[in-house]
Parts: sequence; C-alpha cells; structure tokens
Amino acid sequence: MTKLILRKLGWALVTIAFVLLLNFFLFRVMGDPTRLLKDPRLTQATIEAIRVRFGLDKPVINCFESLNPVKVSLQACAVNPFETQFSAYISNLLKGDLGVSFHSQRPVADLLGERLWNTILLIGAGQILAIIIGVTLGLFAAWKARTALDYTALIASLAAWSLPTFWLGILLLFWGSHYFGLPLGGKETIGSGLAGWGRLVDISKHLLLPTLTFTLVFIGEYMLIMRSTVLDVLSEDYILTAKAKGLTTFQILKDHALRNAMLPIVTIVALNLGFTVAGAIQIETVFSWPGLGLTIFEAVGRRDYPVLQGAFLLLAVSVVLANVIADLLYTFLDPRVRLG
Amino acid sequence: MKRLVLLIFLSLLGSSLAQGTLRIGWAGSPDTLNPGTAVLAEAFTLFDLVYDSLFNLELDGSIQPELVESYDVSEDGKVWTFNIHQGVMFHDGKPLTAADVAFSLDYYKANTDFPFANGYTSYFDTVEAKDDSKVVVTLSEAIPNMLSQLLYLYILPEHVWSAYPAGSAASEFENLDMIGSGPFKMTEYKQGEFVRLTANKEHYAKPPKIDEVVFQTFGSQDVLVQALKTGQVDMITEMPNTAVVSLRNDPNIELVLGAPLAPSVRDVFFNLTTAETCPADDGICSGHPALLDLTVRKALAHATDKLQIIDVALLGLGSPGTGIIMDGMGEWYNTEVKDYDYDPEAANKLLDDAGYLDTNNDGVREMPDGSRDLSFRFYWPNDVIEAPRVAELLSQMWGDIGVKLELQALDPDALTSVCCPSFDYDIMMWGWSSDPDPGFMLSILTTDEVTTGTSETGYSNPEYDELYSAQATELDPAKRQAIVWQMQDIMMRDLPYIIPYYQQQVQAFRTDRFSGWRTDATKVALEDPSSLTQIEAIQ
Amino acid sequence: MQGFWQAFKRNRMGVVGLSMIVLTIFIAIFAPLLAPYNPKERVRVTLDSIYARPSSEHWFGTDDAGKDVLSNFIYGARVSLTVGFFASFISVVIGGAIGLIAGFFGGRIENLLMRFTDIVLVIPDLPLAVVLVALTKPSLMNIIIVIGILGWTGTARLVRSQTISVKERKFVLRAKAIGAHPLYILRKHIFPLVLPLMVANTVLVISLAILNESALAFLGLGDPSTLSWGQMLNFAFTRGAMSSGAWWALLVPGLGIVWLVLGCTLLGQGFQQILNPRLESHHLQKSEMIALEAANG
Repeated sequence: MTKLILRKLGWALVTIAFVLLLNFFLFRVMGDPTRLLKDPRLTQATIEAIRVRFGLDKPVINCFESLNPVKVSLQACAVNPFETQFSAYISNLLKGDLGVSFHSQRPVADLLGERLWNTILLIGAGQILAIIIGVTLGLFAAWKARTALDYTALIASLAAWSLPTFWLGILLLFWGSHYFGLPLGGKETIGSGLAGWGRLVDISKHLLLPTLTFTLVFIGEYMLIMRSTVLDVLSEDYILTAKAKGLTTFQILKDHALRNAMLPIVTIVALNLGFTVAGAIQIETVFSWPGLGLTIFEAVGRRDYPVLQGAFLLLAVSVVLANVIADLLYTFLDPRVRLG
Repeated sequence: MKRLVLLIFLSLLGSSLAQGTLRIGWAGSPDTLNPGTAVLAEAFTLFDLVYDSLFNLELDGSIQPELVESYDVSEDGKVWTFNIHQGVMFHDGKPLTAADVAFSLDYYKANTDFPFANGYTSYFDTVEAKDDSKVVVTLSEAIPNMLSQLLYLYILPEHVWSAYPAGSAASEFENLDMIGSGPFKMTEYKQGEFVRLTANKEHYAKPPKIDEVVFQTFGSQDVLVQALKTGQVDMITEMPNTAVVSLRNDPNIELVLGAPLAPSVRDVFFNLTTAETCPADDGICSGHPALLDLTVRKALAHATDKLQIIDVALLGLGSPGTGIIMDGMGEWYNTEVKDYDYDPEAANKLLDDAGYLDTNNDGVREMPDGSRDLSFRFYWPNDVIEAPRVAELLSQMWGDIGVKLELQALDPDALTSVCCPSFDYDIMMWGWSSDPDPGFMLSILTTDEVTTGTSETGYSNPEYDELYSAQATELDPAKRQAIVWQMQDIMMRDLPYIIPYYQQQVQAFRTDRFSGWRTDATKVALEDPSSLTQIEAIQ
Repeated sequence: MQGFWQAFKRNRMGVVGLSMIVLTIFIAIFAPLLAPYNPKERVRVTLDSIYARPSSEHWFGTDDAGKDVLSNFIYGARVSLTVGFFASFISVVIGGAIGLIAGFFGGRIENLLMRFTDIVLVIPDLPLAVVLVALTKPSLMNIIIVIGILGWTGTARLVRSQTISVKERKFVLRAKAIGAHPLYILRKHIFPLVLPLMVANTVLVISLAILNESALAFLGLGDPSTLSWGQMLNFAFTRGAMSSGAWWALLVPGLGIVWLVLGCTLLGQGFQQILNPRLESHHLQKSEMIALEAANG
C-alpha cells in the first residue's frame, strides 16, 4: 500500500513538472515577454530588474533565442543550460519567487497569498453545502425513482445546473441587496472595528450570496451523479441477495448504495475543481469577492502576466494534489479496481 | 439550529455605522501608493487627499497656491522663488519645511523612471532651499506653464524618502504608510479592495469636518449604482450613463453632471505613416493606403454623425469633439474651429469624384486602381464601456458610404503593441486624459514623437512642428493661445483624427447622510479635497 | 431504431428536452422571418428608446442601444447553438476516443493517455480559455475551437472509468478468455455499454459549451461582431441594465441560455433512461412495491 501511495505521489510530481513546463511555454509561445517590457507602466529600473530576474536577455532555452517568433541559433545552443530563461524560471520558483506584478509592482506570491484563503473559504463553503444537499437529494431521488419526488428533485436539479453562474449571481446580488440589504461586494464591512462573533456574522453576511450562488449551481450535478449511480448499484444482483438476507432498506442504502456511490462523487469533486475555479472567477467578479478568481479576472484585463502565470500555477498544483487525494480515496473505496 | 437562525437574523440587521464615516464606491483601485510610479487616476485621487503640493488645480479650472504662501518670478522667467507656509506638519508630527519641498522636486527630477512626475521637472535646472520657508527653482529655459508643472509634484517627507535613493529603490518602494501633510491620513489599505483614510483635523488650511473616508472597490459600475441606491455607499465616482434616468427619480440621491476634472477625449485616428516616416526600428506600418488620401478621411468625417453617437453611446451626456485639445482646457480650446457637417451625400460625392468606386457591386468601394477594397481594420480598447457601441455605429455610418470596417476589441496592452510605434493598424479608437496645460496633447502630433510611441498617427508636418516649438516657449498667454488655436485649425484641416465626442463626468451622492458637496463648479469631482474637506454629516 | 423511437416517445423528459431544442433550432433557422426587426439595421435612436419598457412595439423592450431585445434574442439563438454543437462535437470525439482506448488497453497506453488527460484537466478551463481567446482574437471560430479542445477531459475520464468497470464484468472476461480480438471486444461488448454514458455526457458537454461561451462573453471576451446571448448579457451588465431597472435586457437572454441548456440536459437524461433501461427501476423499489402490495393485500 505504501508503495502504491508513493507511486501515485510520484505521478503527481511528474504532472506538476508538466504543468510547470506548460505554464512556462504557454506564456512564451502565446505571449512575447520582450514585448511586455515596452509596457508604459514599467519604469526603466523595473524593466532592468525584470530582465535580470527572468533572464530575459538570455535564450528561452538551449538553441531557442525566442519562441514568439521562433528564433533558433547555434550561439544559443552553446549556452550553459543553467543560464537560460527556463532555468531562471525554475530557480525563481524554487525560491518561491513568482515575479513582480506589472500592475502594482508587488511580489506576485504576496498578492496571491493574500487572496488564496478568501477563495478557499468561498469554494469550501459552497462545495460542502452543494455536496451535502446534492448527495441527499440524489439518494432520495434514486430510492424513490419514478415518483413525483424523484421527478421534482430531478427537474429542479437540472434547472439549477442550467443556470449561467454569473447570471444567477447578478440576479441574486440585486435581489438580495434590494430586499434584504445584503452587501454588494467585499469580504467584510470596512473599518467596522468588529471582532470575534460580530466579525464572523459580518463575514457570513458577505459570504451568504456568493455561497448561495455556488451551491445552487453545483447541487444539480452532485444530485444527478448520485442518483444515477445509486440506481445503478441498486439494480445489481447483490442488492437482491442483501434483501434476501433480510437487511432493511436503510441498511442496504447505507452499506451498499451509498458506499458504492461515493466513488463517482469523489471523482466528480476532484474533476469539478477546474469547473469550480471557473465558477469562482465568475462569482468573485460579480460579488467583488477578493479571491484568486477576481485576481485572475483583473490580471487578464490588465495583461498582468506574472500574476496570471502565478495564479495558474497555484491553481493547477492545487488541482493536481486534490486529484491525487481523490485517486487514493478511489482506490480505498472500490475493491474492484485493480491496484496500480 | 437556533444559533443558525440567530446568525441569519443578525446578519440581516445592518451593522451600525459611524456617523462621520463617508463611504465612497468606485469601480477601480489605485495601482500603487508611490506617487512617482503611479499611473492610474484612482492613485492620484488619493495623493490629492493625503499629500499637499505647491499649487492646486481648482474645480473652476484655475490654478491656486496650496503650500505656497507667495511666489515671485524673475524678469526672464527663469528663476522662481516660492515662500512656503509655516507650521505645516506631516502626519507623523514632523514639520514640513522648504528642505522637504526642495528634496521632493529634486527627487522627482533625479528619478528618470517616474513616468509622469519626472516629465514635469524636465525644465528644472536647480532647486534650492534658501531657508526654512524659501525655495528657489531655476529653469533651464523660460516656460509658459510653470505652475501646471507643479500640480502633481506632491511634497514628500525627506526623512522618509531619503532612505530610498533614486533608482530601483525609489520605484520599488510601496509607500504603504503614505506619510503626507494633506487633509487625510492613510489608515488602512488592501490592494484592489479598499482604502481607509482618517481626517487630519490639524491640517493648516482645510481640516475636514468628517472623521473618516472609505473607498471601496466594486466589480462593476452597475453594482456601484445599486450600492448607492441601497445606501451601502454615500457617493459614487462613476456610473453608466444609462443609470441616470432611474437615479434622477430617487429622492435621496442627487446627480452631478459636468466636465471631468482632467480634460479627456475619445479619439478615432488613422495610420498615416509612409515609407519615409515609418520608424526604422519598430515600424511595421501596415496602414491602408487609402487613408493617406485626405479626401477619404474627409469623406469619413462627413459620414460621421457625432450627435447620433453621443445619443446612443453616451445617452446624450457629451459634446461633439473637434480636436485632441479638449473643451475642458478652457482658453486653449479653439471654439471657432469649423467641423465637417454630417452629410453622407457629400461624403459619397467626394469618394465618387476621387475614383473610389464600387465596381464589383459588393457594397464596398475599391481603390481607384481596383487593387483593394476600402475595408479597414478598426481596433478599440476592451476596457472602455461604450466603445463597442461607438464602433458598431461607425461601422454602420461608414458602411452607408461604401466603407467596410473589420471590428476588433483589443486589451490595452495588445492595442499598444499594434499601435505605436509599430503602426500595425488602419484605424483605431482610443482616448486621452490630460493635465490642464495643452503642451503634452499638442506634442502627440509632432514628428519627433513618431518613433517614441507617443504619436499615434505617424502624422508629420513641418509647419505644425514649428508652431509646436513656438508655443512651448511663448510666455505671453494671448500669443500662445493664438498659436495653439492655429494648431487646432491644422488638425481639423489635415484630419489625422476624427474626434467623436468629449464625454461628461457623471457622479452621484446620497443626500441623507452628508451635506455640503461642491456641485456648483464647472468641473465635477466629488472625490476632490474641495468636497471631502467641506462636507458634514447630517445629524 | 424503431424500438428506440417507441421507447423515446414514452420518455417524457427526453421528449420535452428534444422539443425545447427543436424549438430553439426552429427559431434560429427562421430568425429573419420571426424577428420583428433586423438587429443589424441602423435605427434612428432617441433617448427614450434606450432601455424602453416592453410594449406592443417591442415585446421584450429595448436594449442599451435602443434595439429590440426580442429580435436580438432570436438572432442570438443562432450563435449560441453554433457554439454549443460544434464545440461539444470536438470535445466528445477527442474525449471519447481517449477514454475508451485508455480504459480498455490499460497499461502503458492508459498511463500515457491519462497523464496527458490529467495535465489538460488540471489547467483550469476558463482562465486558460480567457487567455487563449484574448491572444487569438475573439472570433466565433476561435471561441468554438478553444472551448472544444479544453472541454474533453471530463468525457475522457468518465468514459475511461466506465470502460474499466465494464471490462471487469463477467461476460467481457469470458470473451477475453475465449480469445476474442481486443478490437472486437471493444466494439461489440465495451462500446455499447459505454455509449449511454457518452450520449448522456455529450449533452452535458453541449450545455457546458454554451455556458462557457456566455461566461467568456460576460468577461468581455465574446466575439464583438456576433450577437450571442452571452454578448447581450455582457452589454446589459456593463451598461447598467439592472440599476436602471431594465430587467428585460438581463432576464431574456439569460432565460434563453437556461432554456437551451435545460433542453440539452433533459434530452441527455432521456437518452440515459432509454439506452440503459436497468436504471429505470431497481430491486429496492420492487421490494417496496411488493411490500406495499402485501400490506394492502
């Protein structure tokens, strides 16, 4: 078992390495880093600092002067492989240096660090609520398949799933602020001087609408997956056996259906992380929630490449790690999957 | 469960709000708190509140002394002597003296990296503090606009900034404590989220009557309006024009319309580079040859219904533009320049006569030699809300005279890279904001700027260049005005630009929490110290 | 096929979903006949006609440029449908092929393909799409391609896990034991069992593509020269529709997206129920019915 876990972690590392490569080359092939240095926001001193920091006066990687446009030269082949833009990128990363924002001239790692927890809070609250409600609904819908309850839950879930996230957010934002005086943006009331319980209430108040949007958008998917998996499990022959053994409905649902259905749910939660990020960008944009999603949105609008690149990396690595965890859980949950 | 219900219940109650706290909503946020490196208008709004400078731009467009008590200029216009107010204190309790003033001006001059501030010091030869209150600035050349150079050179405390010598230390300094001498002190700052300022009740000239100002950043202008309507903010600095009607009907909200504090212009410009003028290093110069023909540009001008654009894109809140010198520049704006009438028939006739005919009947005219369609790439910045509507309207209007536009929104960075000095476009729409002196705006069309990236058009005309040099050193305001007006006539004659409009500023505030806003001036800036030091909480 | 159609006709959800989609397609095809105004036509606009309330002249009011929202909506169906169908086609073909091959052959091939999938999967779709669209210029074609090539990973993973679990079923193992050719097994035994999931998934991918297009447009990266529902929402949001009380400009295109996405989803559910009748009922339910009958009897 230890060997298996180590192997999975090893693969995760390989994946992360790929992400690093892609992250590096995407911004070199699709974008042109030397063009960025003409940015009027940058001062000569900053440009010089960026040049040195990212090794921009050196070839992108051995043999390639640049990738946009592609420029190959023998001279570039002869350079020390530790004296390229790529090696500068890797060594900066190892030092935790994600570069400096073009927009604010602040270290990217600081900017992302400030906002990471806000996103985790938002996504966490939204996902946990969505999973609890979705799984419960799905279980009941499957159990009561082809009844009015099933159809109602099904239609409601499908309808919720069909809502464009940002659109639902906008509607909720205006509805909630108009009728309930809920806050229109931000994480907490500025300069309120609140602490402890009062501050918690204040933050919850700001979190309410974004979380509600998140939950509504994601319930549908969890409910659908849960329902179809439970139906699948319940039609297996061993359920008949279990019933013959005199187990109650509750026991069968709990011991067989739920356990087996956790499998795809775990997969979906991991798979959903990318989708969740998409949700976060839209929701944070609509609700001015100061998280990574809003950071990405702002960075794209400002062409703040270092921030964008750093945010990509952070998200991609988080998703890889989440997938490893899901993969391991998957292995524990489904004995039928051949190990390795 | 009871706890949860309680929590929800509590959360629905508004939190109590300090009476003296003014909450301002805006859609942007400052890029940095460093007055040297900042670029965005939001940052300068804060600087105006937290720092003092030698002179201040008033809402009527005039320039008035701020830290300066009195000043004197030598006969030849080169030596300026400023007497500084005594007893002015920085927020950390240390006195502001002539030494700080001299240090600051020198500092801006030494930091060649500072994008704006350094430019304002370009004619400064020496800066000297003669004693605690007297500063002498000697210029390398007499200039007509000395006072406007001093508006945005904020006075920094030497005891803080001397630790960051010119160079990368200066431009990397985040200046989070923001020690200034202005009417407000920096208290709390979260980048991209909010700024909290407290009143400097000890300010020597204009201590605020309120206690605190909070600037909160919201995701969109639509949300800003909603925040004002629901009372979550007391004032908004920007809003979509479409919201004007609904806000007018709100009894607790007052709208303020007028010229923006910084004169601004929306411009449509043509790629006029030729083989001779194309910048040697960066130039791609792929402009459509038809646009080099003044007849074609005249036809486009005749086919542009500016009033229609103002009605649709701005809901009427703007005025038709004539040139890149804005109507907000007071006496520099040429009120007599004659614009081309909206007259599609005249436009068609111009093109017909010049041989631009639609020979293959596809609805688009071709070049006289039949080589190319009159089909132009048209780019605009994707961060300008009304731009897509303007582009759409221009595409229709010019379509009426057989000219086709390929519309494309680009982000400002991409726009810069195709714009200038690469000149890889046909027609582009962008904009400028300016300080009150016309000097910079006039420089945009000079030949010298074609290679620097400041010239957007590649326009080159020796006559214009000469006039530009003449006005830059003309000390007699009336004579300078005449030259500046003449240059605007040339702009209209040669049409490197079609200016669709000058936009009005629209702001709004709630009438139920604070009173005393400055709404009577010709320019609108409720976030300016002139309002924020005046207003009072309503009991 | 006849049997399928018979079964489909009895499936209420599928029929409703299909009708919703067919209606949308009908509207899109006959847009020039149905729309009261031509959105491309230039109209003389006055201040009163901007965000005008719904009236007999403009059933769904007008937008921020004084144009008829209903007409824009009708023409917008074309763009949203085009994006949805073409993008999801790209996604499902790529994802299905990769998932089947990986799940069936296992071993090194699976490892290679799934690692590749993982890598594409971990890159958050929307931000990457935003960057790619911004760099490649936001034309409709580019939007379709970007959404298509970023949207296949979910399909691949699902198809692969379904393939693995089908592969372990007795009859497949038996076929393998008697030495049937792998491609034969893949085609005859695996594919039919995976197909329902793929079909159900296709429909979800269409809805995802439509949702993604609208999200891109909302973030300001729609094709400015085509009038999709997402683009309408972008104009409404950035030009103050809600705060000026013009709910119609925001509600109508949004409901259009919900309608189309819901139609696809219902159809997907319908397909799933028909193609995989095992899911129609289950042992617990039967037992309950028996128990119920016993109690009644």
